[in-house]
Amino acid sequence: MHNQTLGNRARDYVSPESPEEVAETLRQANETGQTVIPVGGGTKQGFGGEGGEADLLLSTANLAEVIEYSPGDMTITVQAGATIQTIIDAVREHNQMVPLDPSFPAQATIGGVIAANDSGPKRMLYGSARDHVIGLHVAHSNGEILRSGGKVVKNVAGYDMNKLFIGSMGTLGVITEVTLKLRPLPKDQSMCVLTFPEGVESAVKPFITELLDTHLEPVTLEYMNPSLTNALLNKEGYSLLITFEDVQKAVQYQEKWVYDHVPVGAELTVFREEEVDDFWRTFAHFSIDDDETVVHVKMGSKNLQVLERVENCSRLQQWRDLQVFAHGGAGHGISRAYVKGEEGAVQSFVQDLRKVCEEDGGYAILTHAPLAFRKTIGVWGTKPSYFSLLEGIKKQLDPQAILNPRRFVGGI
Amino acid sequence: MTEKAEMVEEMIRQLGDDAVLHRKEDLLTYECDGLTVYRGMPLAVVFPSSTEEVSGVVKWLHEHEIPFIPRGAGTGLSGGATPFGGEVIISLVRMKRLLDVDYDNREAVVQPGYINLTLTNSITHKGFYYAPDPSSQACCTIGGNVAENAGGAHCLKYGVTTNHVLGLEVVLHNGEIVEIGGVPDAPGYDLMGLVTGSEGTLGIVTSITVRILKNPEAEETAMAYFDSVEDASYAVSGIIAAGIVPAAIEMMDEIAIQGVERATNPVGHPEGSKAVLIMEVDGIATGIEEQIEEMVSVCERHNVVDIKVAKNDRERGRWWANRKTAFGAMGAISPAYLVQDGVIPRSRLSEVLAHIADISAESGLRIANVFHAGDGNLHPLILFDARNEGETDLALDVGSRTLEACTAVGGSITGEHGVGIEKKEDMRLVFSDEEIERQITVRSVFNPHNLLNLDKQFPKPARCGEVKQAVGSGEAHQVAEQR
Ligand SMILES: Cc1cc2nc3c(=O)[nH]c(=O)nc-3n(C[C@H](O)[C@H](O)[C@H](O)COP(=O)(O)OP(=O)(O)OC[C@H]3O[C@@H](n4cnc5c(N)ncnc54)[C@H](O)[C@@H]3O)c2cc1C
Repeated sequence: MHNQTLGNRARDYVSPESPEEVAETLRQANETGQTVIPVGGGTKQGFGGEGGEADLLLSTANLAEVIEYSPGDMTITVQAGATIQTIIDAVREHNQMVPLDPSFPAQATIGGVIAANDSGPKRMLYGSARDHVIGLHVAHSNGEILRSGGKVVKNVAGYDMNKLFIGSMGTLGVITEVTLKLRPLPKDQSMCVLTFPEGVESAVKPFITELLDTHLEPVTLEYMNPSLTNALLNKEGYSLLITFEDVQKAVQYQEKWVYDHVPVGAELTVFREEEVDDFWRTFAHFSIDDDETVVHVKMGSKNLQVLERVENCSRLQQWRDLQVFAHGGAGHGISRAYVKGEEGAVQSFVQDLRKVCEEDGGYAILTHAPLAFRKTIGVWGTKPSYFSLLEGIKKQLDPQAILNPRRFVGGI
Repeated sequence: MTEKAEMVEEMIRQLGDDAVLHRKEDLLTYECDGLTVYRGMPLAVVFPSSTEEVSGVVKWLHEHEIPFIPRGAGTGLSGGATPFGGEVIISLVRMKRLLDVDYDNREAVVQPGYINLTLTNSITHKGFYYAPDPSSQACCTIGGNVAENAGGAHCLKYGVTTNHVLGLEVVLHNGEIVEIGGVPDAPGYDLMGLVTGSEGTLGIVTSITVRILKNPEAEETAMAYFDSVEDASYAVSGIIAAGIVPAAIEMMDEIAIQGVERATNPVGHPEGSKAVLIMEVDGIATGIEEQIEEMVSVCERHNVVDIKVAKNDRERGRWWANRKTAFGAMGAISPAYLVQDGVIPRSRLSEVLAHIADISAESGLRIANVFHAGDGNLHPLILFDARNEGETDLALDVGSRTLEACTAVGGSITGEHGVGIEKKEDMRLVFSDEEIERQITVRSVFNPHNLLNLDKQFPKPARCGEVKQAVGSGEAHQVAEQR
């Protein structure tokens, strides 16, 4: 877990046994001016941060309890160190699910997923952390544990402070407890996989546009480039993963629609029941071995621009000696690329990709890269015009900047 | 020249003669929002027509340290747009254009004064709609919805305003214009999420990009009558436990039923019904019937007296009109009413409703309940007569006690109407002083001089604890307490 090249390391390590201990640790660190890196499952060690090492690595590993699960209210409160898998398992007996499908659910903790705002293909229908988190307990650098939100599914008392911590990369406080909204498990599911041999991918956009103009309610419309298609499905060309989750009749009806509309040249494969879960499990665990050089990029754009993003990745790869695995959700606007190759080539690839994304009003950030790489080309891209507001918030919540120094946008 | 005269002259210079109100008789309408028990006189009301005009006005007011309040349609129910006295109201009603619709990417861009329902009406020919549907949707603005993080009947399945906002243009306290969001997970803290629900205290929203959705293929609505509120509550829990995701489950109790039947949209609820549930399922047509059947059988297990499914869209529409005009309908059975907005874990429904019935009995004021049962968002409507000495104060007090009943079971003081003026002190029922203080420090980043919707949403720090309500009864409360 403590990879040398990824940075975000510290001289000392603590793993508090209680939220109060977390808060006390922060208070002391704040007093003595020590810097702290909070860590959950450690899956995001290569995400963010261009600085040197900190004084203290603060792990939430010992805060992994399910505190309260109320099936009738479809809410669950857990400690921040609980893994996504722990939550999935806890709610399954009541046929419920946590509608989050980030990478590495068995390692990733809910606190880490929220801090890094990780999400998967199903956010198209279900949304992301900002749509499911209804309450947080956060230990602040002054040693206070403050609550935001609550345990009810609708709540507008005061500011929606939950939002500040989602995606904040642990720069504002250490999340100790999380309350989430749940959903019932779908009664049935299936996944239609359309593969488009290279050259036929121009049929993807009209197909998606047509599908989106029907009443179909896909849970995913995830588009994968040829390398990823090959790695996960052992097929050639681009692929589109269309998942349906509903009562059986509705699933069958939607599946039939796809069957009737397969574009010329494309090939349809249908996954059913457990096959669908198995596929998404494999998808969530996709990684390229050799952590030393691999770089992960997350891009945000308008929904349909995702198709261009994924195709951009393949095009920019062509004349470079690189492996690029890319996918993106045509119904949610997030694309990702996993890149491996000679450092200079990866660098110029990411820089070119970032340029394309930013010109389109989006972004390309590094969600995983060696420290040296991050230092060279930067994690977050161009600073937003309202940077002073971000800085202002940081100054109010962590005035001495002891939490994750320089981990975040613009060196916050 | 007085400070006011100078301000009026400047506003007229910037916006033109027809965009500034400053005579007392013209300002009376702006003394309060939908919550009429608190009133205060603004200094002036100005009507900018563009982001640049908002920015210019704000810049000048900021330089002259005059507090200002953004205002949409004024339908807010917590006093958010109500002046304490001496503020300039910046009305956004002239910024009411639909700027862009992008069906492929499922987005629409609107100005803040654009009316919620107009958006759905403008895109319905393409089979699209805007999901958040507050009962006031025919008149409230999307800018006001963003400021309150408004909800509605269909938020059970589709989420509230914050789940549908994709981007914002905001004029900051000093007139600076910023654009936030626009693409998902924009790097940086989620300012869009923070501004949504900030009741006009962090900035003035001048353009909003929202998600639009494709109409569901089919929808079915059922109405079920019960002999007791408990049975209806257990039916709600049963439906949720069955793994159905209804588009909406609304409940009205006996007094509410009496009100709606005597008002403008009666639908013939049987006399004497103790509770009615309006339940809706939507989605892929072939899957709807079995879900409705399952809901019916859950209701049957909980002693439903009568249950019917809407025969067509017209009937469905009438049922919803009956429900969505329920607040106003209280006017038919009471000279005045106060709307409360507590939230509870839905599994505690029958217990809390019983508690509210006790509060009603003790106080002698009738309380009708009309609410979003599926997500536990209660709207106790406290019926009173302002002409009776002390009854306005009593109603306010009863309102606070219903909120205590909600927070006692781990709930919240507001699910969608906001804190405004009304629930400032009630914030202490859910947050510690430190937690409130922390939110105020966040405000200071955006609103360092507290000029933007001055003193709303948060109680004063405990040290100088002010008492919430003014003296006197029967009359509207003058809330002037500053400047
Ligand atoms: C009969 C009735 C039924 C209702 N039903 C519901 C319901 O079902 N669900 C629900 O959520 N609410 C409901 N409401 C409450 C109200 O309609 C909502 O809060 C609505 O969002 C307010 O919009 P508005 O345009 O009237 O805003 P206003 O009342 O004018 O303002 C509300 C707040 O927003 C701020 N504000 C307004 N515009 C802006 C802007 N552009 N930028 C920044 N701040 C701004 C104001 O300062 C104020 O604090 C109901 C109200 C009534 C009268």
